[in-house]
Amino acid sequence: MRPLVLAVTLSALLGVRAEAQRLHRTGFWFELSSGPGAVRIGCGGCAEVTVAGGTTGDIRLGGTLSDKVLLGVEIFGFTDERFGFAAHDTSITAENSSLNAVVLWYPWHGGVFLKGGVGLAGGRFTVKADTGQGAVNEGNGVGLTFGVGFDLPISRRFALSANAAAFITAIGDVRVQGVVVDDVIPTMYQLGVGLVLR
Amino acid sequence: MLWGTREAVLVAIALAGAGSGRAQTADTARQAYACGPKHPVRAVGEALAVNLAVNRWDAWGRGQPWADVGAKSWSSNIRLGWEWDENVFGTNMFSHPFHGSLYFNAGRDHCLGYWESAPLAFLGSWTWEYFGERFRPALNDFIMTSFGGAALGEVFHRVGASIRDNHARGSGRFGREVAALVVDPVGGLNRLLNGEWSRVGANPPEHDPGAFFFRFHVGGRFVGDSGSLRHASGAGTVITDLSYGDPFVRSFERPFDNFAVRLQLTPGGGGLNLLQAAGRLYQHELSRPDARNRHLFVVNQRYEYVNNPAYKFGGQSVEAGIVSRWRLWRGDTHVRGKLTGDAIVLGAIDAPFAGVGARTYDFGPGVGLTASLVLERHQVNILEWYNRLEYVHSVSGAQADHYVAFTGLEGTLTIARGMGIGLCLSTYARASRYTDKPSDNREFPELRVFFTWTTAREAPVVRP
Repeated sequence: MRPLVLAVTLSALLGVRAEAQRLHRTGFWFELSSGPGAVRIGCGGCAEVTVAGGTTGDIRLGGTLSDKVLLGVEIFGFTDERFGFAAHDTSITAENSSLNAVVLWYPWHGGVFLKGGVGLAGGRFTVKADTGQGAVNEGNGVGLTFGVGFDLPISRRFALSANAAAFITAIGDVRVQGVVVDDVIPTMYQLGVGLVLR
Repeated sequence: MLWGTREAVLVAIALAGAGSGRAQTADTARQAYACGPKHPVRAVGEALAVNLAVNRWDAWGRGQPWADVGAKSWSSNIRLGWEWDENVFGTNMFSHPFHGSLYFNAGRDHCLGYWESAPLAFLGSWTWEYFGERFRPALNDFIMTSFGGAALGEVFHRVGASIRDNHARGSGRFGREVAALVVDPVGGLNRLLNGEWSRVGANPPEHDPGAFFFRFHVGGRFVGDSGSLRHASGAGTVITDLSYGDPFVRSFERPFDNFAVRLQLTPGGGGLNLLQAAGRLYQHELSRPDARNRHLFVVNQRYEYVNNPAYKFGGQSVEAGIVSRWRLWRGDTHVRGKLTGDAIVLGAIDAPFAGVGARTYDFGPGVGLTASLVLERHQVNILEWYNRLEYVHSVSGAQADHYVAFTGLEGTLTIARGMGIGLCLSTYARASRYTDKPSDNREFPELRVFFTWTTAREAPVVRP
């Protein structure tokens, strides 16, 4: 809820009045959003997946191709400081991030948009030093993102944005606590709220 | 496997038909055609119907247990999510992109543009992976089907439109519709259902690419191993080249207004050996349109499938860079140059120690560089040199980084009436660096000698 409160407060401080007007999408745009998320990690030969909650944040910026299509880049990050591959294990800090080229498509006249993107991905699993096995293990690979969202204009230049998105990151083999985990694919899910500047 | 060598032969025949057909039917009704209203809902329904039809064919027609899907497999797939599969190279790198082209063309055939149809390839692929098979959804399939489906789909859509001729009548018209059905099955079926196989009218703009180049090669190829041709193995081979449109002749308006395709079949050496397609997504003129030497900034979408007994390489990529055309002498001869960098969304490459389980190749993203020079006269290639470097970082299979280089020199001498002879010397070199195994370097030289038949058209240069 914290990001939502922050965004609403910010809009109030800016002295803007929520208007039922549609944003005219043109030129440069910038968006900052955050919210709760979850990660599901699958791997080669694994019969089960590991699921955990965490915090997400992302920054998007870019230009406008047309009133219905925006093109930009997006940096996304997910963190869970109490992660573990085994049940009740909280000895790992899991961090996943991606840098994607994204397209935002507004197929209708309102603020609903669909998002798709592709780019680079990274995953880092840090085993806490107090476990006696402190180590950083990371992998890099390819990232994909898909999502849906809604822009709610609050002024001519600002809008609130709600996003639901999936970030698929294929990061290859990762060695954690002495065990090689093959072909790791963390998929993050984000419910984010953000502020858009145009 | 949905498609194989037989279908690839049909594609080659259809491509040949596209080249010869266009030479006879320059369409002057470019502006007269108007695609009807867009039907996105029907397009989505058709893409999902493709999945239903393929799944039921596999379940009822072929008795495949993996196609026996239901609530149990769907909930399991949703819960477990993505993995990498272990299918053979041809299935993952050709059949799936071809499957994706069906979804994509469900959009194109309902008057959606390239960018509007591309999401259908993603939607069709995603729904197939989660609900069309009992296997866990494979991330490699999703990427190859969606990105490859958009690239091949637009190529097939345009080749199909070039083969068809809405001005034609009688048996010739029927033959064209059947040939186009091979490359664009969804489009052909839609036309059949809508009574368009016999209706006379204007052709769509995709029917006439303006300038084009088509070449058919028949000959022998000899591939060696470890840098020598001394113990090369030989086989008969057939190659089809098609360049659709010329960015220096007609201005760029839509994605794939200009694309190039090469298809190679070697019946005694693996069947479908090669399918490469590169289509223009964006271009910006850097010089004056009436300048003697012209330069364009371009962005291309690339599909690549190389699968022969010596090596395998493929992937989906986007390249950006400069293409140039320098005019020589009186203007009918040009040198074309290309210098691009590329990002491989997902590549596949075989190597010793590569792969996992039954799979013998790695998957991974990468980057690359391409440089080429072509000497051409009246739109016909005479001499071509190319050099490509690619880097693939494995994210499924071995813990490895692969470096490959494609280098080649291909010359053709026209003898008479489009007939010619040619020679090509090329090399594929690979260096693989493993985290936990010794490095491996291999080089595969190749010699090709061939006869050619070429047809081309230089569309009139539009002076501003």
